[in-house]
Amino acid sequence: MSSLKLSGVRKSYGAVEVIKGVDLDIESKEFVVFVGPSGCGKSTLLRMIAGLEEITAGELDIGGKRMNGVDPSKRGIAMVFQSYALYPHMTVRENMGFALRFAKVPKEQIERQVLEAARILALDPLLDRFPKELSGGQRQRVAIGRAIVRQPEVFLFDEPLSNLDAELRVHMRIEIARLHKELQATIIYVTHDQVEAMTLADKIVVLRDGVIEQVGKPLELYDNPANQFVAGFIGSPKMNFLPARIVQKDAGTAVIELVHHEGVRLSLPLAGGAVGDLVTLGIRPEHFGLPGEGAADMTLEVDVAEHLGSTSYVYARAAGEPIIIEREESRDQGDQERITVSVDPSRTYLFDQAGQRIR
Amino acid sequence: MTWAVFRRALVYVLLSIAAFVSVFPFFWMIIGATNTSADIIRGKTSIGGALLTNAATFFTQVDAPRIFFNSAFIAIVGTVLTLIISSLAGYGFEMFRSRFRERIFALLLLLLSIPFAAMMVPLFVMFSQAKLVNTYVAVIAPTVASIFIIFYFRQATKAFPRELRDAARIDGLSEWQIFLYVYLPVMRSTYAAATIIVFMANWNNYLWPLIVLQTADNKTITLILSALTSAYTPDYGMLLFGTVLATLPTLVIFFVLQRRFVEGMLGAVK
Amino acid sequence: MNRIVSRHNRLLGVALAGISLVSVAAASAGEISVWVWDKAFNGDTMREAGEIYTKDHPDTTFNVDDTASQDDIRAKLQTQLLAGSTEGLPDIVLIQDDVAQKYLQSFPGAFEPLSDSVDMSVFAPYKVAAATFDGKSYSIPFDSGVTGLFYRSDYLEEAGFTPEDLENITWDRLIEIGQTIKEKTGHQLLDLDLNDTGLIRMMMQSAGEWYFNEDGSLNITDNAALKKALETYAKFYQADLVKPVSGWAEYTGAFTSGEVAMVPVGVWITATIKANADQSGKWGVAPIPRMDLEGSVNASNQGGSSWYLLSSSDNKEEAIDFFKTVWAGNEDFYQDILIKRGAVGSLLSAREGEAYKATDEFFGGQPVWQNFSTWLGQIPSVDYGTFTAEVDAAVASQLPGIIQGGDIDAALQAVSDQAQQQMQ
Repeated sequence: MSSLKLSGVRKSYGAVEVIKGVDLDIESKEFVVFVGPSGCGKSTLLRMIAGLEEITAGELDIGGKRMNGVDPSKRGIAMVFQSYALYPHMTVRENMGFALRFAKVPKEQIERQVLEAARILALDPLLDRFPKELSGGQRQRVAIGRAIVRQPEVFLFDEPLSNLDAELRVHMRIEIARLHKELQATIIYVTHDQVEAMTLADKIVVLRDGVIEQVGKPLELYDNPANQFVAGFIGSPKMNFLPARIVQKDAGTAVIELVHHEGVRLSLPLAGGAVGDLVTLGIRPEHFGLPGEGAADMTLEVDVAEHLGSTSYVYARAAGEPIIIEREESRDQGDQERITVSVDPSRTYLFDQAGQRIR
Repeated sequence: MTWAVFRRALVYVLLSIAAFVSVFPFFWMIIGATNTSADIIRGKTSIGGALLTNAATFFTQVDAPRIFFNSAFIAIVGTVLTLIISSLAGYGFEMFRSRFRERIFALLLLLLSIPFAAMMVPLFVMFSQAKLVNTYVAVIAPTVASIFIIFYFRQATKAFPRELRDAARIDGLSEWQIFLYVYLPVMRSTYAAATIIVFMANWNNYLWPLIVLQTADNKTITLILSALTSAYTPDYGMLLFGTVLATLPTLVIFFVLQRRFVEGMLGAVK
Repeated sequence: MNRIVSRHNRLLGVALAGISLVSVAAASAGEISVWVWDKAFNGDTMREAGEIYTKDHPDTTFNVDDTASQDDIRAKLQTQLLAGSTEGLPDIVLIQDDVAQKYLQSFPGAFEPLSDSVDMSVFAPYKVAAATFDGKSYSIPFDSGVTGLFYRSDYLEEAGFTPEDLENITWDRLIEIGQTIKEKTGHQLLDLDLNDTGLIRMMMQSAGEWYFNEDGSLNITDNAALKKALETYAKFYQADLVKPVSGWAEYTGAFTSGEVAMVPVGVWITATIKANADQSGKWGVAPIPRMDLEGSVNASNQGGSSWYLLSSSDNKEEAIDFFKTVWAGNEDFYQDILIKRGAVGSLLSAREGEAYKATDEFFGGQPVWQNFSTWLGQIPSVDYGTFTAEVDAAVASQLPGIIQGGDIDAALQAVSDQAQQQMQ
């Protein structure tokens, strides 16, 4: 299995630049997830690695070899598409063996490799069926099987689970995770679903507008977002962002006050900044405490409460600002008109007006 | 009778009329082939006993094997060539980007509007200078790049999943191989529909073969039938017999391919 | 896997097409090719003429091609002469008289001036005139379209008339007779196709007029004969004596089935009428009526064609000799084709022959051929001009209005305008 390296990679369509200088190192056997909102360029980046799109500038190395301009079939990659891209006029067996046929691999070997991949994915009973006779999940597995047969250096997945229903998605996610372990494969996986990213990735690459916002392990991104965008993207439900102001500043600490909740003051470690600076305070819904537990209390008006059984989401409002609160075991809370929560400063994040994290 | 029932009945009546109008010419043709010319002029609509006589007259007057061979050769070869060239063109227009693509395509569509009669004379001069008058080549050549079929295939290719091509490229296929092994099998119903259309057009082609074919032994059945109709005393029975024969190939092709044809019209490409 | 087509198939196809008869229709030395459009009538007649010649000249054979309709032949001639390419054109081609001038005037040099080698005085003058351009004559006249009024003698009798009542009459008189026939027998007099201006041209030529003046300019609005013809035509409809038909099959069907009583038409309809053997004895032929106009006679022409020799021919000498020997010299030949096919040739001396003097049982024992021969000599000559077809179309478009009682002068003006425009 190979490593991958992107250096200063750019992509333009005519005058429009969609990938604006990407540097990335991927280790061998790593499961890397490209994640980001629609239009951020993650699929484009994937297709550039695959060789389906040209690299306008920059270098791509796979396994230490320069791959710019190399034919897709010679890069040692295999791709699984969102819509599976199975050849409708061929059986599963033929689909999986297709590439090897053209590589002039002897028939017995093709058969062997196909059977091996089929075994891994439990596709044996389906080998002689046609794609239109299979369910969505089965088709996806065939697509993965086709990739496996090619014995690539790097697997590329382009939003493979987007076309499946929720339950199937969970199931396939686990399958893919298992495959990663069994095959010891280098995988690059593109998705817009941050749950998939969090659960599958060794390393997450967050992209926005053709630029990498942050790269890191999933929990790193959760615990330590580099900017407001990443903080809001990772974690579900989204982090709450409340405008605040520095009211007191000593060396190393600052006291900030929420703009819309005078009275809510928190003391936080902060290196720079001055009194009067506007900042943004970030608090995850799951980090609100019960009244009295934290440094300050806030009382909010409840709009809607959703009860999922063990967890409840309270959609509240304070001075016109929406806030989401996550609570365990709190079914009765929703029936009240108001809710009081506490804020623990050690579980908050500060961002400047440009969205960058400040500490 | 309720309104719903009445409406149903009305629909059936209308459809029956439409069906009748469509089928009647074939019915008339077949009946006529079994009657004598005099009976036909009188408007007889029942089966007569003159089928064998008409057949005999037809085969004596017309060198049927040769004439049908001409038509068949021109139609079959013409259809195969047209399908190859025009489908490739349609595929190419849709699949490959180029700065001039739309402009060239617009030009082609513009050429569609030129009436054939305007091109007839220059075409004839061309083939005359190439010493190809009265040959199969001359009849077939102007038809192989059918702009209509190019357009048809380009439209159909829009429904062809792009990702199949991506997957094939990753699987190591060259562009030609993608066309042959992925595109062709998937677009079977489009080809079926196109075959029917092109074959019929070639088989029934009248004006250009008229101009460029000179000797009786090279003419197609459409020309021969036309000449027979304009005799001073046409033998309608024999004529209709010949027409039945002339219609058969297209009917056969249609029935053979019709399942695919319907699929192609519905655009079912998965 | 479907390997429907591959590059190889394409090459194979081209090779096949190439191997396939790259047969250019080059007449082998001594083979004269002829284009005609009707097998039974002009095709077989030419074949017979060819056989007569080949017997004495075994080196010369004939290839008569009848696999194209007259429209087809016109289209091909027009296209090729326009293209300036004579590849594949025959040696001899049959052209109908009323369109011949168009070819002679548009493509000077395309045809051989036969009057240089053949004595044209042996043929009916009006036929020779139709093929004369710039002082030379280019055709060997073939069948005459001399017209006669074919009538059902049984209906005539039933209505209380005799054949003599039809001799030397005017169209107006015929209308009266027709009304009586309709009363007494219930049959319409004529069948007419509004797309076909044949009857009108027939009437016009009987007065020695045509659509054009000698210099080629349009002769429409001041054309008394044309005006009279249109008036007469309208009168038939207004007297309700017409069965309307459309197309050749309906036209012939109307009189062969006995629906209408009479048909004024060229002699070449004989074969069609005689094809109904069970009507033998029930038909007769009278001279066509004349118009109530000075200069109009009881004779006219409809159709008729002639043989033309293309200048591109490789066998000109043989062809000319053939024409001289058979068509301009062999009277027995003309008797034979009259008997066999009802073809009335244009060789004046042939009229003295046996067949022409014979009576015909089918037509109640009348000496029809003698009659036709006489009328042949009376047909007024006219110059058909280059644009007959265009003016015809203009006239045909006015007919529906005229038969409803529309103003004839206005119609003439419209015809003139439309024709003028077409002639640009």
